[in-house]
Amino acid sequence: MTAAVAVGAVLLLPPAAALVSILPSRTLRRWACRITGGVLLALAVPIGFGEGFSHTVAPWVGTLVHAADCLLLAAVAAVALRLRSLLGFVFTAAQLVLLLWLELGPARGMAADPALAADGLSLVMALVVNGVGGLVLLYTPAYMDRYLEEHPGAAEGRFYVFLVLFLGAMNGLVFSNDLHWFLLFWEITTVCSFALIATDRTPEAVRSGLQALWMTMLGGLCLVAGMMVLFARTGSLSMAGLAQEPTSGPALIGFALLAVAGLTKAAQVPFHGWLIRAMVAPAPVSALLHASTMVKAGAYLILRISPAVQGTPVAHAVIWIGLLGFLGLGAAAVAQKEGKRILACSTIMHLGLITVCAGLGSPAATAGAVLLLLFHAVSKALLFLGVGAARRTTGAGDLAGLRGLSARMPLTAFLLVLALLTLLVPPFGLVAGKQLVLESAVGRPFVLAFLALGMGVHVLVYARWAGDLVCHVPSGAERMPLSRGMGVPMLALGALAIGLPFVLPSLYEKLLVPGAAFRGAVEGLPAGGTFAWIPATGAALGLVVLVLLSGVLRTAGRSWAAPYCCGAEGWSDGVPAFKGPLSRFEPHRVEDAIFASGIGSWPVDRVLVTAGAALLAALLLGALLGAT
Amino acid sequence: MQTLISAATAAVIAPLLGALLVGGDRKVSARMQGRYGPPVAQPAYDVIKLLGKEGKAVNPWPSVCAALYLFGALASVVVFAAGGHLLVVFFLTTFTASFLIAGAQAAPSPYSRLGAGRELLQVMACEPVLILVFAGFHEASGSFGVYAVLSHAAFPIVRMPLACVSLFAVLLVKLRKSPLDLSSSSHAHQELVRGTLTEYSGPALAMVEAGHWCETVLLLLVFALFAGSSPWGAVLLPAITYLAALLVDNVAPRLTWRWMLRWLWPAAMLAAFSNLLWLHWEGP
Repeated sequence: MTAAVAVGAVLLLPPAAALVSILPSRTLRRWACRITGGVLLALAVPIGFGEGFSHTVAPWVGTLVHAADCLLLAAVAAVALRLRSLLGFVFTAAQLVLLLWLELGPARGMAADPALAADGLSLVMALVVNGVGGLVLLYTPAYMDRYLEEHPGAAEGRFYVFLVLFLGAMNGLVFSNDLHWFLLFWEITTVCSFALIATDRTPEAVRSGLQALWMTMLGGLCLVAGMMVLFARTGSLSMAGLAQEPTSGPALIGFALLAVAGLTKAAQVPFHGWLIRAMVAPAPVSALLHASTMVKAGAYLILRISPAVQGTPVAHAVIWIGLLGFLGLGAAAVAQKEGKRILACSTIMHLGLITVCAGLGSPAATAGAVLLLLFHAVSKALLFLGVGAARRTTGAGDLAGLRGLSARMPLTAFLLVLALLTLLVPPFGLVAGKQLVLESAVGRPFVLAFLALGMGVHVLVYARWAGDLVCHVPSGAERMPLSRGMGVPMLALGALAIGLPFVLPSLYEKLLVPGAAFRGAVEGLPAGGTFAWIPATGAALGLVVLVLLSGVLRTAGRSWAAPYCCGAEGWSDGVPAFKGPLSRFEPHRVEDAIFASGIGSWPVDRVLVTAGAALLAALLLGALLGAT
Repeated sequence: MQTLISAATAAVIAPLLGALLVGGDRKVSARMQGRYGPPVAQPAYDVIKLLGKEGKAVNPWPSVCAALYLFGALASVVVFAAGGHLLVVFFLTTFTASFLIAGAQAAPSPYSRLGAGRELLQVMACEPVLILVFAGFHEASGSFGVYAVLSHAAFPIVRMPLACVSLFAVLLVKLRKSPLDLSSSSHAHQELVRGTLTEYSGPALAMVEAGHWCETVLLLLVFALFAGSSPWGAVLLPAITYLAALLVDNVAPRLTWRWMLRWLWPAAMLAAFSNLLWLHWEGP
C-alpha cells in the first residue's frame, strides 16, 4: 500500500508542481521545484529497492490517455507548423494519422492489462530518474537565478513547468506496461526536451530544439508504426507481452521499428547531431534530460526488445550502430573545445556502449547495460552540474577557460576531476560495466576490436581534461565561492560516485541482477563476488588519497617554482613566462596542437552520419529480409 | 592465504626487480656504446637519493598524480601476481597511464604539456593492443585468469606470434626508449627536455621512477604469459624481449608522433587483431 502511495506521488506530484509553476511568481516556482526534488529524492530509494508491482486502471483512464496522446501530437504539429519546421510537422502529423487509424480502427478500445507495472529494470530506471532527477531539481533554482541574470530573454516560467513535468513523464514512462501509455509519456518527454532546449529563445536555441524535435519525432513515428505491426501480429500492446525469444516474420519488422525509435531517443548515430546541439540548453536540462534520464529511455526501449531480436540481423545492426557511436563520438569529442559539447559526445559514447550490450543480449551483457545506466547517470549528472556551476560563477565554458579551475573554484574542480575519473578508471562503478561488456564480447573479434579502440579513445577524452582542470599557477587567484544551492546537490552526487563502488557487489546482487532479469534468464550471470576487487582497490586507494590530501593541505604557504623554460623561466604579472628578446619576460602557453592539427581535422561527423545511415538502412533491410 | 602472500611478495619484489632491470639496462646499453656503465644498483641509489631531496614543484597536483601513478603500477603488478583477472589488470594499467598524463597536464609548463599530448596518443595506441592480446589469451586458454592461462599449456606463443610482436611495440612505448621515446626520454636531450617528467623533482620524481619500474615489470610478466606452463620459458622469454628492446633502442633513431600514429599504431593493432581472428577461427 505504501509502495502504491510512493509511486502515485512520483507520478502526480511533478504535474501538480508544473501547474503551480505556471503562476507568475518566481518564489513559488523555485519552491515548487525544490519541494518536488526533495520528495522525489526521498522516494527514490524506497521505490528503487522496493517490490515490483502491477496496477490496473479504470477503462476511462485508458481512454483519457488515448485522447491525450492524440491531442498532444496535434498540438506539437501545430507548433512545428508555426515555427516552420517542415520535418517536425511531417513526422508529427504522420504519427498522428497512424495513431488515429490504430485507435479508431483495429485497436479500438484496446488496452493492455495492467496499464502500469514495474519489474527490476523499471525499478532501476526509477531509482536513477528520481534519485538523480531529485538532486538536479534541488540544484536548479540557484543555477537559474544566475542564468536569468545573464539571459534576460529566457522563458523562465516555461523552463520550470517543463522541467518538473518532465520528471513525472519519465516516471510514467518507466512504469508503463501498456504501449499506449508508454507512447504518451515518450512524446511528453520529447516535447519537454524541445521546450527546454529552446529556453533561451535565441534563434540558435530554437533551431537546436527543432532539430531535436524532428529527430525524436521520427523516432515517435517509428514507435507508433512498430506498435501497429506488433499489434497486427500478436493482438497485444503490452510491454511485458513483448516476445522473450528471437522472433522472425513480420513481428521482426515491428521490433526493428521500435529499435529505431530507441536509437533516435538515445541519440545514436546517425541521429547524434541533436544531442550535441542540445547543449545550448541550461545545465540542469543537459544533466537531467540529455545525460542521465531521457536519453536513457531510448536505451531502455532497446534493452526491452533485445531478447526478441537476439541473433537476428536487427541485433547485429544495433551492435554496430552502438560501436560506431562508442568509437566515433570519442573521436568527435577530441576535436571539441567546449566543455558541455565534450560531455555530450561522451554521453553518446556511453549510450553506444549500452546499445552494444543490448545488441549482444547475453545475460552478462544485459547486467553490464544496467550497471552502466546507473553509474553513468551519477557521474555525468555531476559533470554537467559542475560545468554549469563553473560557467555561472566564472563565465568560462570552454576547455581553455576551465583550465586551472582549481585556483578559483577548488571544490567544483575537485568534483569535476572526480567525475571524470569515475568515467575512466577503476575502482569506480563504470569499470565493472566495461568488464562485463568486454567479457560478453569475447568470441566476437570484430566487436572486441572496436570496443578496444573506443576504450583507448576514452583515455584521450578524460585524462587530458582531468589534468587540465587542476593546471593552475599558485599565484593567489581570487577564490570564487560556489553557492550552497548548487554545491550541496553536487556534493551529494560526488558522495554517491565515491560511495557506490564500495557497496558494488551487494548492490549488483540486490538491484542490478533483478534489473537484468526482465528477460527471464538470470543464469550465466557472474556473481557479485566478481566485483569484490572494486571495493578492495577502493579501500587501498582511499587510504593513499587521504595521505596525499593531508600532504596537499600542508603545502599551504610554501613557495612554488616557475615552470621550466630551459633556465630562462620567470614570471610576467603572475603568469609563467620565459626570458625573451630584450630580456623581457614573455608569457607562454601551450595549446593542444596535436589534437587541432591531427585528429581534430578528421571529417568525423560526415563519416558518422554516412556510416550510421548505412547501418540504419541495414537494420531495416535486415528486418525485412528476416521477415520474409 | 596463498594469494595474499604472493600479492605481498609481488608488492615488495616488483620495484626491486624493476630497479635491477633498469640498472642492467644501463650497463648493457653502455657496453653496446663502448662505455663501461654505472653499477647495476645505480638507479636504486638515485631514487633513494631523490627521496631525501626537497621537491620543487609548480603546484601540488603533479606530485599527487605521481603517487597515484605509483599506486596504479604497483596495484596492477600485485593483481597480476595474485592470479587476478586480466581485464582487471588492464583497467589498472589505464589507471596508471591516466595519472601519468594527468600529472603532466596539471603543470602549466610547455614541455610537460606537450609531453602529455604525445603520451595520450601513445596510450591511445597501446590500450587497444593490450585488450586484444588479453582477449587472445582468453581464446587460447578459455579464461581471463592469470593462473589459468599459465597452467593451460606450454608456449601459447606458438599460436600467438603476432600478438607477441604487437605487445613488443607496447613495450617499446612503455619503456620510453627510442624509437618511441616521444613523450619523455630517459635522456633529457631531446626537443621535449623530459616531456611528461619535466616538472618532477625530489620525492615526486622518485615515485614516478618507482612506478615506471613496476610498469616495466608488469609488461615483462605479460610476456611471461606467452611461455604458458613452461617455467624456464617464463624467465627466458621476458629476458629475450627486454634485450631486443635494448638493441632496438641503440640502433633506431627517434620517430615522430605522426609516424607512430600513421604506421606503428595500425600495424600493431592489425597484428594483434589478426592473431585474435586466427585464434578464434582455430578454436581452443
